[in-house]
Amino acid sequence: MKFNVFIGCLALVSFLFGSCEREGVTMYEESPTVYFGESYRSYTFVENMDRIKIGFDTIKLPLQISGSAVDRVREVVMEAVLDDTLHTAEADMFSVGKGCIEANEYKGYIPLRVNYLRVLDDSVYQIRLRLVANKDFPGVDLYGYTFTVSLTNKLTQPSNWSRIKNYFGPYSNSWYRFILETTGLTSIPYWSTNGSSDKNNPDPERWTMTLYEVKAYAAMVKVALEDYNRKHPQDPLKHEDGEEKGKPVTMP
Amino acid sequence: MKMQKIILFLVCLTGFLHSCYEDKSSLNYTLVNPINIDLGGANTEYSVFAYDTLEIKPIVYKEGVSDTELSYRWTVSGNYIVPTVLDSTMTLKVRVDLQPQTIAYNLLYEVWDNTTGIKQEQTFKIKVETPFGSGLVISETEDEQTSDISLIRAYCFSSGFKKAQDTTMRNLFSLVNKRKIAGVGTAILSTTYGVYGRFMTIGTNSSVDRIDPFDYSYIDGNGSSFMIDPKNYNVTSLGFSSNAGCIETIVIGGKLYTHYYQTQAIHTFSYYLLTSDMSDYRVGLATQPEWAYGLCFDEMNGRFLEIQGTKYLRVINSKKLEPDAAFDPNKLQDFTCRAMFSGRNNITHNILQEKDPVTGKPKLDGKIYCYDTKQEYYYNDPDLINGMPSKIIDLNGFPDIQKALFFSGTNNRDYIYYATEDKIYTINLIMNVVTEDYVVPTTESSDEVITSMAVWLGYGSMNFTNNQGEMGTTSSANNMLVVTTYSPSLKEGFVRTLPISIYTGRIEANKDYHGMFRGFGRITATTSQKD
Amino acid sequence: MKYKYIIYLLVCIMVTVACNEESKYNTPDEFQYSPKKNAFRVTKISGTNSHWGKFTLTMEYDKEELSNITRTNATNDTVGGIGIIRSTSSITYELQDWIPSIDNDSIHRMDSILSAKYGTGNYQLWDSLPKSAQAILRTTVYTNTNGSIKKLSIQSYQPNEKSEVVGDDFAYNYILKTTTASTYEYDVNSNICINRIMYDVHDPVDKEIYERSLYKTETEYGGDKIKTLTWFTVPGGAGFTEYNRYNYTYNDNRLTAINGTDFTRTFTYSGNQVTVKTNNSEVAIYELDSNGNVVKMDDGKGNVYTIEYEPGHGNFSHVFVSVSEQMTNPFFIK
Repeated sequence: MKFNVFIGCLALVSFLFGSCEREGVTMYEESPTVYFGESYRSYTFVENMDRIKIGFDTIKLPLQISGSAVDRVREVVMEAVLDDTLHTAEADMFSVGKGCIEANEYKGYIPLRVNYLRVLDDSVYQIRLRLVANKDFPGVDLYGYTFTVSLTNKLTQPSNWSRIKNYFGPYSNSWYRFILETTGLTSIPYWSTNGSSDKNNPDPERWTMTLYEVKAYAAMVKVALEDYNRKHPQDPLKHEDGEEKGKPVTMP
Repeated sequence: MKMQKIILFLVCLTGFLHSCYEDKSSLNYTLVNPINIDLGGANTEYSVFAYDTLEIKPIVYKEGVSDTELSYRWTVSGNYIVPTVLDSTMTLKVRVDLQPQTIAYNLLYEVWDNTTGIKQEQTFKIKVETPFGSGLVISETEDEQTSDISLIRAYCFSSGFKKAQDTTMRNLFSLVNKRKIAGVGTAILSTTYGVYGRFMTIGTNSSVDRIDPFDYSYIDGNGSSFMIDPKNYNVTSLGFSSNAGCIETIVIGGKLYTHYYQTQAIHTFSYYLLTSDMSDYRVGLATQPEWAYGLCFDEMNGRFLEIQGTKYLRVINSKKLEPDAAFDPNKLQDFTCRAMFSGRNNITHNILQEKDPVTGKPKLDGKIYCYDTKQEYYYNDPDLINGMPSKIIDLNGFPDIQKALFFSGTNNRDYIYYATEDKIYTINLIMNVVTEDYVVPTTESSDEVITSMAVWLGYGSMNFTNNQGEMGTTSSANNMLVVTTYSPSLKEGFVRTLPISIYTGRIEANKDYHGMFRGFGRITATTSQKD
Repeated sequence: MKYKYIIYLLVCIMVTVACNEESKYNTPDEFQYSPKKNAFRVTKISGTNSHWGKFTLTMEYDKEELSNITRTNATNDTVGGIGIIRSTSSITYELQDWIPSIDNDSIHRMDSILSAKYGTGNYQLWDSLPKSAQAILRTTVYTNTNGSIKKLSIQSYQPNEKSEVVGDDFAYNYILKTTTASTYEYDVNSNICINRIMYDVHDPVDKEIYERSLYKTETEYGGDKIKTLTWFTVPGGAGFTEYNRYNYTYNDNRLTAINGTDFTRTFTYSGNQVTVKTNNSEVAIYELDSNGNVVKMDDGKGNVYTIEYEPGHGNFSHVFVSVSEQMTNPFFIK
């Protein structure tokens, strides 16, 4: 009987104090993912001739996240996909740096150091890269996208040619060289209308040119092209390579 | 058994009583005193001049909490500036280093009670006014090598001014920017386009300077005013189309450059406009009406070209001319253009004179005509009427026409005004009659000569003789000629304002209603500053 | 067997605990304000001052609040009064001067007309003049829900210089000189411990333009007696900064001195007279009656007043004597 009473009291106690608990609110937990902001970058020492003497340069590959920004720095890890058949770069041509997403940010960079070697003068090499899951980002690139960096000292089609095609026409190395010589520029860093301040610009530090400047340079090149063709009446300027090889250069 | 029953009964009793136990834990609170921001009846809207001191003195307190437990922050934002913290004490006393704008800035005052972390806010509106204001801006030179700009605020140039308040502020470019303009002014223009921007562009024969018309601070100049440096800064004219194309234009070395206004991204001049057929050109003068694409005269090819926004200079299609067209706008190779301005009924008056084919300048006693072209609204011109010929007016019989230096007209009258060195004539285009309406007075000096003439387009009022012979008052915009003169003997420049009758189109005869401002160097260009 | 009772006891305790909701709900602390009531209130002030000349002020009360003030001059004409405006949270008292609304030339002309009509001495000129009531002092009292004074706004006016001018330029309206707004904070003993002041000096031409300075006083008490009074002001763009501190000295429960930076005030008692000397130059003499009320005042500047009282509480000092004045000189008219 004593035992029963004891149980009865226990029941009372748990009865009384059990209801004092308040249910906590559980927070929604997401699984953050990091992925590349673009999929392709071409780097040519042609546009960065001062880096040849130094021997290397650093490319910042843009990163974006899905999920919320948090108030601490999160590390991002990248590695070369060595067993990819498209990966032709040699080990001494590059090294992967430490990337991160800063506190309270939705974008970031991961640096890739590229080194100058003689062999780059007349060849183009590809570096294939992918993001690796770590404790900060258990999810990476759900579709398994690889980032390609093409590395050379040869003149190559810039990665943003699709954005300026409407003003300069189809691409060829010879035409691009003519454009660079006429304008005195080393590149045409245009991506979206308002340049660095444009909301849709995936890399404001790189794509600094506005649409209005692109149009100004296009006008300048158009005049130069017109001039050239007038001076060579039977022999207008032609594309010397690429898909348009042999055809006269036309501007929209 | 009895014992168990009793316990069971007690358990039920407790349970019953327990059921009325509500979770009142959410009622755990103590009443808290508020943070008081006492403005003492002062306004929350302030108006200050740029560079003045703004002082706001509220008393802030929280009863029961020491003043040392409060922290404060004053943050100004608005008008696209980066929000800036001005001060972090209870009261604000700060020099206003904000750009004058038509829309007030927002000032957010935040007060924290550090013991609870609670914040109280108060917002203010701060309107920053320009220390200068509306009026006539002139470009003047004293040494024929450098120039400066001065502002005249007066009854006839500014809104809300009484005659007794006329003020002249001289040498404002050098006052604010600590240097003179490196050339003799050839053109000056103040433009603004909503929230996108405002510029006062000053062109000389060898330089370009752009300043903020609110406070005359330097923005850019020469190469930095262009996306691609033209390397030549010999400015011959400036223009502005606020509607047709939203562009400010500048002519340098015969090429016309545009600055596209309707963007936040960039405000420099682009590469010069190309012609629609890629032919070369050399522009002399241009005119940009309010609602039609502008027109310019290509001296190289003797033709009119339409300034189609930032797209190109459109060649007018001679094939589309009416069979009885007064002239072919592409066949004017014998002429040089002396002036271009809008007239009544959507017409552009273009004063053309026969030119010397070698120098390109007007031939001695070359015949002089007014070639009228049509204007058509830029947003509705499917047949490309804009720039098409209208008629030719023969000016050769008019007195002193070969001595005419300046031509102008208002877009609401059928009158043309031309000025020689010391006289202004009025041409009544309907009656084809000319009257000598003004002679430069010799009361101030004996050798005053006219250095420029323009129709006033800014603010202000003017008095004139109405059709009852009494004094009438009306706004001066489009109703007044601004004539600048210079006396070589006194080495002094003058500004003379001449009302144009709203009834007759003739220059006001009553000299009491003419305005006169003096004490300047040689004035070479003028513009109106609206606000 | 005994266990039974213990269990019963335990259960009863737990039951009590279960139903005890009250302990988890804290009632808010409310400031209990107990006003300090005066035993006597002023009914008449007679004397001379530089603005009114010879005058007598008569006060009437209704339910411990001022309801009327009348001012008469040397010839017993009623030349001033009070206007009272009530609203839900405030009462405004306007001490008014009744002044002629016509210039001196017109007054003389009226005098001549009346003299011609009725003969010299057979008419009252003052009664025939058109007059206007101009506020010389306007005080607005804002009260809290518990009856304490929240804020006092005192506007001080001065006569118009143009009232002496004749012709078109004559103007009689009083010019607003200063506005002093004081907001009070009370301690748990219902004493004012903090007084926050906005002091505005108005432009004589446009009263909407003013120069504002901010002040604060913090008062420390020992029992009901002031120990220190600290003055703060706000230098441009900063917060409250201390600039003076008054220390109060007592002897036999009577205030004998207030000492601060550049400020000394001594109180010397002799019979029923108190001599108050400020900064060793200004001397004011007060005469008290047996109840400790000031019945005679000579402020050493040519203003002498005699004061009469009746029993009961009145709010005369709340309206007309500023708190900082009350705190730095206990000899004021209640």
